[in-house]
Amino acid sequence: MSTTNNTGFDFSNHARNQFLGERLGSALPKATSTGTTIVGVKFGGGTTGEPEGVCLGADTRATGGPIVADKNCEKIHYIANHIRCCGAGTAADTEFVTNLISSNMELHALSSGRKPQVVTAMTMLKQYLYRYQGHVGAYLVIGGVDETGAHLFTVHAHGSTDKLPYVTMGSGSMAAMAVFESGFKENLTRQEAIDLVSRAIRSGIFNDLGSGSNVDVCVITKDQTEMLRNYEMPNERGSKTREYKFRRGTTAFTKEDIKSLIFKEEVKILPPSLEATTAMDVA
Amino acid sequence: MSRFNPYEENGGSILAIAGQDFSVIAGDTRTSSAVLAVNGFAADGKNFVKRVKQRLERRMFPFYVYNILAGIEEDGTGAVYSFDPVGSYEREACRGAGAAQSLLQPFLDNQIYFKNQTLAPGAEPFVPGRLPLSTVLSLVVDAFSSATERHIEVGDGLEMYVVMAPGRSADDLTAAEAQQAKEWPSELTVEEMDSLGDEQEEGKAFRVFRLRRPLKRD
Repeated sequence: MSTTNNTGFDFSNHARNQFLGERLGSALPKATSTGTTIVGVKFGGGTTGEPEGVCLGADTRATGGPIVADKNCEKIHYIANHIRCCGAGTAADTEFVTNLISSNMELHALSSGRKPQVVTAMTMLKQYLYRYQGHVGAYLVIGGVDETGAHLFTVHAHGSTDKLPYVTMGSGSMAAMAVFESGFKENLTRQEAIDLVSRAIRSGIFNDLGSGSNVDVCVITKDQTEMLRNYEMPNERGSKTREYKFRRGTTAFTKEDIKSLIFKEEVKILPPSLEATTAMDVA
Repeated sequence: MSRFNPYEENGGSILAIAGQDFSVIAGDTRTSSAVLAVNGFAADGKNFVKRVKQRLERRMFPFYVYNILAGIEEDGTGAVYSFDPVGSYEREACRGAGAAQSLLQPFLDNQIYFKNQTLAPGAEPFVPGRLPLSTVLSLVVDAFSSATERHIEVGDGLEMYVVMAPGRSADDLTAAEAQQAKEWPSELTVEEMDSLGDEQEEGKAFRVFRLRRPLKRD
């Protein structure tokens, strides 16, 4: 019955899972998805007098269905020193696919003896994702600066890519794109780009249920990569009205059993033997 | 493969707690409809309950709503009645419903019904439904602010209604010193609504207050 091959995915349980799915209904396990707002924008160059670069942004909420799984997760992943990648979709897939490509980029740099290009990362990702026909649920925004300039791409889980000056992805992509469409212009300054990106992420945080908590920003230029973790924190929880401390002994128990984990041992120190004091010959 | 589904979950949560001579009903303001917090007062609680039950039953497809009714019983005690979608009901000391029911109800069970709390040796037994109004209000606020943290469909604002038995002093809600107490929830606004019941006769009116407080909006 097994149709296992070495391509990574095994669909031999498909019919069984379909059957169980119909019987169990909503009791089926669900993957944690980073219901997300991620964005990227190019800046600099032209008459700004500032170096070219890309600015990436992400919210920090991870969800499992309607429940917030992580209030402050990191969605801007490391690819190389001068390349970063924002991930939306299935949390595990974005985490591991970026890790894998990051490793391969390092090996590629070592074997070629050059700084890897952003297109290389994008191509490796799209070829990997296309191979798995969308089953690896990673939706990405890749940005970086290499010898050929500043680059910004999106990669969809099925393997299609875009190269644009400003991009958004995830469940909050419409809210964020609305901000970009009204506020983007060519050759933004660095600070203008950061402000626009954080405004776009905030728009996702407040208007999309799947996005929330804080704003992470990453600015990449030729000379440096700055990771501005929690650049804005517009959703800090205030203090609770009451204190919830319970009296000692609140929790009922049926049995009490105390074991002593301290063992006493008598140790007798012997006078040094002759053999130990004379240096041994190691032939 | 998927069957026709006439119902849609719109999120939002409601909650009600009964006190000795007051009751509180609360809901967040994130949704427009779907979860209907029926609140208010009925002079004859039992009769009103019967009418609500009938209206829920007389429909081919039940309204997919969980109603919670809070008010004052004939004997002046605070009452919470919860209904299921087809009209079955029960009087309780507290009830949470809606999207975050699974987050709210265990908290209320512990804090209102004192579930999973063992008494100190020789202490007075816990009696549900006797907490002072200030404690109930802070429990409601903490329940909703906590549900907002972990449920994506809860948030924006909290609206609470307090119904008081006739002749009960409202000082624990309106007096300045009550509002400056340590346990008073922050950013809470209190406004009195038109009273219910027999307003002509002094001391027979049921005073109703609306309390609002912002919740996180992400």
